[in-house]
Amino acid sequence: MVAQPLVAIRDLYAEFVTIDGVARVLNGVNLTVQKGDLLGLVGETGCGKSVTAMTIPRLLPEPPTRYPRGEVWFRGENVLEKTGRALRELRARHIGVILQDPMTGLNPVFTVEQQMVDAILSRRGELDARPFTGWLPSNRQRRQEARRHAIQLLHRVGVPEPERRIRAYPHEYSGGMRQRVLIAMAVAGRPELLIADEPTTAVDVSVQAQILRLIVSLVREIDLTVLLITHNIGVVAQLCQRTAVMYAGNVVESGSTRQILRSPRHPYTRGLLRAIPTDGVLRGSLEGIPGSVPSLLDPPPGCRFHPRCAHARAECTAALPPWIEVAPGHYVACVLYADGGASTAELLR
Amino acid sequence: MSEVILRLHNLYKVYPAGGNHAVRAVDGVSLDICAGESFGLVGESGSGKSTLARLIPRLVEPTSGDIIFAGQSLLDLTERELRKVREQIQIVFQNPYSSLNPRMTVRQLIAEPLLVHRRLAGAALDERVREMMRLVGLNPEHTNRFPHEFSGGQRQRIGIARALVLEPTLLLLDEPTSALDVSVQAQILNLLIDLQARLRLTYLLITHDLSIVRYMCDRVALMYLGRIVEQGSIAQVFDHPQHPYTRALLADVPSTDPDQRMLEHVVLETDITTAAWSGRGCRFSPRCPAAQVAACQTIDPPLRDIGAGHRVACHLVGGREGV
Repeated sequence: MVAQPLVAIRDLYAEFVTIDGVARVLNGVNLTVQKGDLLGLVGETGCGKSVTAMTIPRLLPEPPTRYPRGEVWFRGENVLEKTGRALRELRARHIGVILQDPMTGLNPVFTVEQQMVDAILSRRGELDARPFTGWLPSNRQRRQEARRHAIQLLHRVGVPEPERRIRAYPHEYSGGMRQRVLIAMAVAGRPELLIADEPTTAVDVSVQAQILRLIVSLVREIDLTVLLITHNIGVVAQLCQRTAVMYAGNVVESGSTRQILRSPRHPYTRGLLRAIPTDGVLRGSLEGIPGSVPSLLDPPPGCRFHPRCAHARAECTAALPPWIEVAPGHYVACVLYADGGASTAELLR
Repeated sequence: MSEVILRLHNLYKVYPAGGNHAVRAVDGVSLDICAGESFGLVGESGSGKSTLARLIPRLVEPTSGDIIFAGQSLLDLTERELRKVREQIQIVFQNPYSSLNPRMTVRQLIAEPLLVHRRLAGAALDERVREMMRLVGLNPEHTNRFPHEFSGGQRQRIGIARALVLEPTLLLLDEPTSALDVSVQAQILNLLIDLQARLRLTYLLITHDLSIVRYMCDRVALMYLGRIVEQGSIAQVFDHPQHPYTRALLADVPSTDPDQRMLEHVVLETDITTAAWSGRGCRFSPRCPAAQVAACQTIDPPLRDIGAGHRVACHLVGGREGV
């Protein structure tokens, strides 16, 4: 009865081969994105949230990346089995990506117009078409038509005076305006999936609010599914219907955003939420999580959170914890919930 | 309130920007910081908050104005005298990945200020380094390790130890946790709070993160394009914000409560760079969402006390005299 999910990542392992050894960056990730979802993927630096997302368009260079196990289903096909042309087609037509830093996402030596026109044409697979111009529209006509489209897009994402501004170079744009240009380029081909990797981390809070509003309005308008990667819990709370929490290469908890924020179950999620200074928190009373994130070159066995976990038991070091549904749609990877929640009283105390 | 330890009087820093242009990074700031308090200085990128911090120990020379530290004007001092005063004013920098020399050991990093100021040598120096490491929560056995062997949070502890080793009275904290993850940020903020109580430090915390200021400061000032637009106690500014800019900033911080729908209320449509200020009138007027009066376009509003030390620079907010 449930429709086929747009993205289904199943038991995915990823490794980076480095001079110091093999970094095991994904450790059996499971993640489902339904069509129309606004899913937040949260976690701290190095937890694998970007790696997980960038696996969908296979944007990570291989080598050093390898995928020893697992499946990444997108629109009913396993992306890990695709190669060359099929992958390019996938990236051009079906997936849009916006990255964290609007300062480096655009090429400084080309005007915004040149970059947007290229992006629009490549999304249609027309960029490297032959120079043959019989009954087909000429390159020039196609570029002019793409330029008109680019101006519409800039107008749509809120760049003022797009007819004039499109001729400017990236350095003539502010950070917030550059991020708007990148969003316009990402949605130019009407992709089904938009991956937004920390889209507001490098901008001021007032610009952040504008960018988030823009993403919400695009979702409503063009039937977009969004995978939003962030470390900012406030952004997730305001934007996302569903949230998945990652720690050291695993999704440790997932559910509706309200479930995750109101009744977090995994000890890591609970610690993370307690570490955020919010309105009512008194000076000196934030808790933080003791210790620091483990090295992925030599990760701890079993649950990778156990060295920092106040509730760790012997079995936590033995094997990956089971994936348990603690409430409808709310999953947690922790042995504390394996016995149907009998020991959760201890945790919640 | 206790005695004023640092007084900034009508401080300006103007950079020439070619031709007749000038960037007024700090544009007439007056500020008193009291001994033992935590003062938060908040602003967006480009507001001049970091420049202001660098003016205090004269790492950047002010264009005009005065800096009075412990009753003494720093601008009158010779280089030699200034060096002595700088022992009292230390800085913790933003990025613990780039502010520590990667080729120095922790021992060398923490001992460096003591050597520069010729305070200690030999066994006494080593003991002092170990004492500092214990103070900031590092294992004193790791004195011969290099920065890359530590995590981001531990590196910032090294940065704090370096700043504290000369026993300063005033610590300038320039975005001390913005390069750190939230679980580590909490550890560092708590360390700073603990150290302040134990060592009777005065903090000037520079940040763009309002939640950190609310968590650890006594008073706060908001800067906008080089000038303070609102200042007061945490309760005054966070619970009764007066300036339209303060209100907009507070409204734009995404709440972690999923039932508070903040994105539906549009507050600021533009950003600090696209809404250029002509140089006349209120600097916030091109972005201001409030209904404006004629004076907004012509007169730069002064920072006025609206009662109990709550100061606001806005024509729309009535001062004591009921303007």
